[in-house]
Amino acid sequence: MTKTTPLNETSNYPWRASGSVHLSGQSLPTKFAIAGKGGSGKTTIAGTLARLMARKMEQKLVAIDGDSNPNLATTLGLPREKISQIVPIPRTVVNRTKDEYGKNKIVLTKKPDEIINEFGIDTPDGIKLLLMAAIDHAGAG
Amino acid sequence: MRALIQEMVEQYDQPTIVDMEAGLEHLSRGTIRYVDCILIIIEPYFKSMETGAQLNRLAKELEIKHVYCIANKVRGTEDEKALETFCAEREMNLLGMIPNDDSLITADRANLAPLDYDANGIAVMAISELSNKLMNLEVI
Repeated sequence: MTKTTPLNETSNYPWRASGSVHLSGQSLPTKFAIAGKGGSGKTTIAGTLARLMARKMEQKLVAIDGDSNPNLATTLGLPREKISQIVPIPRTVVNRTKDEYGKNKIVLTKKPDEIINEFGIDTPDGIKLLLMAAIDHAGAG
Repeated sequence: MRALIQEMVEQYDQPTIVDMEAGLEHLSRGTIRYVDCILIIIEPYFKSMETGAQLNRLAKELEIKHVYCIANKVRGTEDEKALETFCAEREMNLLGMIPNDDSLITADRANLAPLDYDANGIAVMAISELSNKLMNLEVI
């Protein structure tokens, strides 16, 4: 449940993020998606937010770079040498099949935990990064 | 790629953050419906806010529980007012605003994450406050 109260006066500090939405303790989100136009700063915010949240969480945070222009690794703080070493996720983790109505369906061939352990890249603050655009498209199925 | 993201988000139960493809496609196709929070990044100019309004509408249609907008690259009170007015009119929940911060460009050139370049930068501080809000921690 969120509550929006009347907006504050101009911020006191230059960095104070004004805006008065407050989240209740009961329904805190755990799965986030960052959306926006290209160039809006989406990836910079996603990476920085991920690092800061990971520090305050007990559980491990998984970050997924779903952008066809993958830059999340940099904003997460992965050095350039490590980025160039990233192993692509093979096509075989997904399988095209048909459901009971004959419609196309996608299934994972490995459990999410397995995919993360095998293809997740370690970044600062214990985040595991999955790079989707690195999915190897060789060998069309 | 989209299908893999959809399956991962649906099936994996632990904290996850997805940097989505720019634009409307993920939301209009509903591949991201299994998240419980969408953060829509907008800038204080019309086209950006308008796109944000469309993303906001799509996200609410998908019945995602938490749908918030975050204003980025905000320069001063004129921008703040424009954003606040627009968001109020279009029923967009503004979680907060991040000030324009040129040190982010410097960090990018140095191939460093903003947090590693300057943990006390004004944009990083604002994002830190937003992270506290999202985790309902005490905001100083």
